[in-house]
Amino acid sequence: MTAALSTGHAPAARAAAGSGGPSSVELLRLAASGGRSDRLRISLTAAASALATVVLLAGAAVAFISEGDGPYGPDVLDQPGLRPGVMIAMLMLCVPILVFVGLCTRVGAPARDRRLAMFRMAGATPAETTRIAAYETGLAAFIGSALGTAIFFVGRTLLDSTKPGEFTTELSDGARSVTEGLVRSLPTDASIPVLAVLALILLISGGSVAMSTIALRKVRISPFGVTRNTTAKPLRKTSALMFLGGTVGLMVLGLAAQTAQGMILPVALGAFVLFVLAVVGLLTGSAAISSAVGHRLAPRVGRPDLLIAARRMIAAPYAASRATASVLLAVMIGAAIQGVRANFLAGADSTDTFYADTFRLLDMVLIVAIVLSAANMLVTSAEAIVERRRTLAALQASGTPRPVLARAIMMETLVPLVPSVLLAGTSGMLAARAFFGSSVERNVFIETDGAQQFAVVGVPVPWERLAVLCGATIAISIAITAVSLVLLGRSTRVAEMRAAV
Amino acid sequence: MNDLIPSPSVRATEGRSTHAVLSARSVVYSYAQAPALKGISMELHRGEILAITGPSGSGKSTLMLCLAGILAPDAGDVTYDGRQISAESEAQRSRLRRTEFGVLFQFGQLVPELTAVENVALPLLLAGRKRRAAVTAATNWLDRFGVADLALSRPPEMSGGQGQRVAAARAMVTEPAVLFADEPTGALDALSGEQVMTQMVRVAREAGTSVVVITHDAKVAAYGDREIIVCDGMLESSRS
Amino acid sequence: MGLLATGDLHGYDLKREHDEVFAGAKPLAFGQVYATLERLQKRQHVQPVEVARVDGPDRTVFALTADGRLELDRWLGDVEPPAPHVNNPLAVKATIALLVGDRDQATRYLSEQRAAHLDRMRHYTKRKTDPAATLPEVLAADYALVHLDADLQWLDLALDRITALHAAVIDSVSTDLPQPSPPTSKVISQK
Repeated sequence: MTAALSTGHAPAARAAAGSGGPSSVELLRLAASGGRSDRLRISLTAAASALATVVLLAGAAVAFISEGDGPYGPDVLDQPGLRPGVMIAMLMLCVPILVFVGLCTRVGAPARDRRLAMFRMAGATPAETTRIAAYETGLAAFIGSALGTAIFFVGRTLLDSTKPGEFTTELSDGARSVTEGLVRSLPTDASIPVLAVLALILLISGGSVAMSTIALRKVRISPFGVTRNTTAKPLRKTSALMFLGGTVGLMVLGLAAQTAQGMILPVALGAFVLFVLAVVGLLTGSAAISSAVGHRLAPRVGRPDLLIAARRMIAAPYAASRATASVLLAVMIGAAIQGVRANFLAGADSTDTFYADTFRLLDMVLIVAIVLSAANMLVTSAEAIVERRRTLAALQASGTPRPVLARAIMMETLVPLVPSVLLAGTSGMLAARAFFGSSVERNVFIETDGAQQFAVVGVPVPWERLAVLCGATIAISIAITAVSLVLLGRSTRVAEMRAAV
Repeated sequence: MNDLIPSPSVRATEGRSTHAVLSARSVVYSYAQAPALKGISMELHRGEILAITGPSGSGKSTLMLCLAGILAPDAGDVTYDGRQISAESEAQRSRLRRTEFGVLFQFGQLVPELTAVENVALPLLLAGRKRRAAVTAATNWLDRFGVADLALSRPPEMSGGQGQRVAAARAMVTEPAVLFADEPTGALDALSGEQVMTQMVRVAREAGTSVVVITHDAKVAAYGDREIIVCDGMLESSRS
Repeated sequence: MGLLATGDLHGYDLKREHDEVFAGAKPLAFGQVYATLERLQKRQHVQPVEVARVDGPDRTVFALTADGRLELDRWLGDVEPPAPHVNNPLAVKATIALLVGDRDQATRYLSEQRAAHLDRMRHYTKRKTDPAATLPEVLAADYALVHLDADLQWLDLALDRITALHAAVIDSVSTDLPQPSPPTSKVISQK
C-alpha cells in the first residue's frame, strides 16, 4: 500500500496539507499521477470525448447550413425541413458515445478511488479529492475534445469536394424540380461560428466533469478506505416533479417549436435541458419506487428471496437505478426515435424507401446504444456484487442456497426496472409526438385522375415497436443480471469471510 | 474409548456421553498450494463443549470448516451421525448446515439490511416455515440470549456483543445438533465476550447441543469440557 | 481499614468479612486481627465505639476515625509497585525443563502443565459464571484466570524460543554433517 504513495505524491500531498490548501497546479499534478490503468482510463476518456465532439460538430455543421451553402446531393441535407431529422440522428448517435464515456471513466476506478483514499490519509480534504478526480476527467475530456475539433476541421478540408450530381429544389408551387449541377455530398462548406465550437468543447468537458463529480458524490472516500454511502433517502415528490416536469416541458416545447421556425439551436438546447431533467427525475423516481416497494413487502413476506430483496431495496434504493441508468436512457431515446419514425413514414410515399432506410440505420444505432448500455449495466452490477461479497458469503455460510441468493439479486434489480422502462418509453414517445406532430401531410394518389394531392393523415402510435423496445430491454437486463450472478459463485467462497486463518 | 450404544432418546435428556456425534479421520486440506490440514483425526462427543485451540495459522479454522461441511476435505473423511458428509454434494452439505449444524463466526455474518428477528428467522424461512411461526420462534431464541428488545433493530445499529448474541440466536434457531463457533469473542471486549460465552454455553447445554469452539484464547477455551490443540495442520495431545 | 470503611465491625466479624471478600487468599488468624486493630488504635485510625458484653469475651465494635479514613484514601491513591522478582515455582520448573531436558521431554512437560492449567481455568470459569456468584468471587476468579492465562502464554513463548534456537543450531550443523534423522518440526499426535 505504501508503494503506491511514492515519493512523487507524498511531498505534494504533505505540502498540500501543510500550507492551508493545495494550489490547483498541485492538484493537477496529483491528478496526472497514476499507473497503467489510470493512463488507460484517461486515454479512453479522451478518445470518447474526441468522438463525441466530431459527431456533435457534424450535427452543428448541418444546423448551420445557411442560404449561400449547397447545393447538396443527399436530399436530407438539401431540404431545410429534413435537416432537423439529421441533427436529431446525430444527437442520438451521441448517446452511445456518452454511455461509452461513462464506461471509460469507470475503468480502473476502484484503484483510483483507493489512491484518493491515500491522499485523504495524507491530509487532503474530501473537496480536494473530488477536485482531483474532476481535474483528471476534465483534462482528459478537454484534450480529447480539442483533438476532436482539430480532426473535424482537418477532415472537413480534406473531404471538401464537389462532383456532378442531381439535386432537387422545391418550387413555389410545391412541385419539385431536379437539376443537374455540381453538388457536395457533405456540408463541408457550412461555416460554424467559433462561439458554437467553443460552446461545444466546453459542453463536453464540463459534462464529463459533472458526470464524474456526481458519480463520486455517493462514494465516500475516507482515510480508511472507500465506502459507498447508500443511505440517501429517495425523494418521492421531487423526482416525480422532475420527471413530469421534464416530460411535459418537452411536450410543450415540441408543440411550440412546430410553429416557430428557424430557432433550431435554442430549441435543441432547451430540449436537451428538459431531457436531462426528465432523466434525472426518472432515475431518482426509480429509486423511490424501489424504496416504496421494499417498505411494503419487507414486514410481510415470508419467502427468503423476497425478504432479502425487499430489505436491500430499502437499504440501497439507488443501487438498481445506478445499474440501469444507461438502459433507461437508451429506452427513452429509442422510444423517441420510434415516434419520429412513425411520423416520417406516415408522411412518405409508399414507393419512397429513403426514410425507411434511414430509420433502419437509426434502429441499428439504437441497438448499438442498447448493447453499450447493457455493457455498462454489467459492469455496474458486477461491481455491486463484489462490494457486497462479505454479506453474500455470510448468507451462503449460513446455508442460503445459491438459487435463493440469485433470485433475490435478480428481484432487487428488476422490480424497479419494469415501471421505469415503461415510464421512459412513454416519456420518449410523447416528446417525439409533441415535436413532430400527431398528424402529417402526405402525398396521396387519388385513384380517379392519377393526380397528387396533399392530405392530412394521422400518425399512428407505433405500439408494436415500442413493445418490442421495452420488452427487449427488460429481457436483456434480465440476461445481464444473470451473467453478473456468475460472479456470485466466485465472490462468495466462504474462505473470503474469514479475516484470520 | 468407552463404547456406549446410542439410544434414540431426545438429545436434551441424554446429557453428555462418550458417543461421537461428529468425527474426522485423517482429514487433509490445502488452500491452493498451501497445506492447511495434514491428517487430523478427532471426535466430538454428544453434548460436550469442545475447544479447538492453537496458534494463528495452525489450521484450526480450516478444521472447523471441514467438520461443518462447509469445505470438502482433499483426503480423509468427516462422519456425522453415521453419514460420511465429506463425500456428499455441496447441496446436501448446504442442507445439513441449514438443519443440523449452526455456525457462529467472528464477524460479518448477519445480513445488515435485515432486522435482528428476520436475521434469526432466516434459516427457518429457508426451510419453508411460514413467516409468523418463524418470527415467533426467532423472538423466543432472541429472548434466551437476552436480546429480545433488539428484535426490530438492524445489525449496524448494534454493539459487537449484541450482534454476536443475535448471531448466536440465529445459529441455534434450527435447534442444531452441533454448534460451531469460530473465534466468537475475537472482536469483543472481555466483558461482552464473557456474556456471549456464558449464554452460549448455557443455552447449548439446555438444548443438548454439542459445541465446537475455535479459539486462540485459553480463557475462552476454559468454557469447554475438553481441549484439542492443532499446530501446523496436525494434532497435539490433549486431555480434559 | 478498607473493610471497616463499609461499616463498623468487631473483631470476629472483621475476620469473617475478610475471608469472604478475599476468598482466594489465606484466611486471617484471630490473633492477627486483634494485633492489627491494636496497632491501628494506637495510631488513632480506629476507635472503639461500643462494648457489648455478651457471654464470652469482649465484643468491642470498632469504627474508622476521620484520620483513619484519610489514611485509607492515601493508601488507595498510591500505586502498587509491580513485583520485580519472579520466584514462581512454575517459572523455575519450566525453565529448567526447557534448558535441561531434551525436546520431547520438554514438550511433554509443557503439554501436561498446560492441561493442568486449563483444568484449573475451567474450574474458575465455572465459579465465575455461576449465577449465584458474588462480586468478590467473580473478581477473584477473573484474577486467577488472567494469571493462569499469562502463565500459559509464557510457556508457549518459551517453547517457541527453544524450538527456534534448536532449529538454528541444526541448520548451522546440517551443512557439515550428514543428517542421521530428518528434523521434525512438530509433535506426533497422542490419544
